[in-house]
Amino acid sequence: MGKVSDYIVDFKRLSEFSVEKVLRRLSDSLIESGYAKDSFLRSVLEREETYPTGLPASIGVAIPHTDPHHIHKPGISIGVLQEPVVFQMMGNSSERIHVEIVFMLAIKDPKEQVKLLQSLMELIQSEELLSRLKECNSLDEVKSSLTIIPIGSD
Amino acid sequence: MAKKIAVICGTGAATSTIIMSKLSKFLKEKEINAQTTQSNVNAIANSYKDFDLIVSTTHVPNSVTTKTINAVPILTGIGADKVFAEIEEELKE
Repeated sequence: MGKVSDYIVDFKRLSEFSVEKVLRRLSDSLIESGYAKDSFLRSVLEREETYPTGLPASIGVAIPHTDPHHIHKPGISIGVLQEPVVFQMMGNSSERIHVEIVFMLAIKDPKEQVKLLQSLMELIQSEELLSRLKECNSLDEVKSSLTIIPIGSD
Repeated sequence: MAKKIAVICGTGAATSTIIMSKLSKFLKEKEINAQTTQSNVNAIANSYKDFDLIVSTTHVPNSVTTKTINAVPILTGIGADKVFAEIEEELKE
């Protein structure tokens, strides 16, 4: 897998109003399609509580994820939120981020996780790409928007 | 003597790896002699006294009295320069 787009399993536009519901909907796709184990959802919810993943960018994003043993094979589920949902900020739980795009990561190999995170961090620095993602209506559109992001570039 | 920096995240595996690589590059460019160690938030609760500075992508408990800098801007690249400047300043004394 050489591009971020290769990892994307599902894309949903969501009208949920809580972090829990957003995470539930996104993990459902990963579990049902065999990428994550049943234990994945609970673990992601717990981890988000202890180590929140909201990140400030031109558009608020969150990158919920959890430990490798809840995962069968690598995949990313993306949610675009119709109304922003308040996540806590990574590294500073007292700060709130109004999140509009969620990248839920199910990555098994730690090295792969690091490379993928690096690529996602490049992605979220691009205002143009985030705005384009927000307007996407299908998985294909999302994939073609993200084919330009390679994995493991430095 | 080289200052000791702990680079930490929740697990000590993912985001701290990215910070380690970016921070090491910065220190090298600035020719700052400092020793970096990768760790996680649970371990640092016991070992914080061994370090002069903690650079973290996660919330660090109040019991940790070593100066801590939030490294999320280095991770995202948004506001990274300000955080690097803060780290440089901290390593001067």
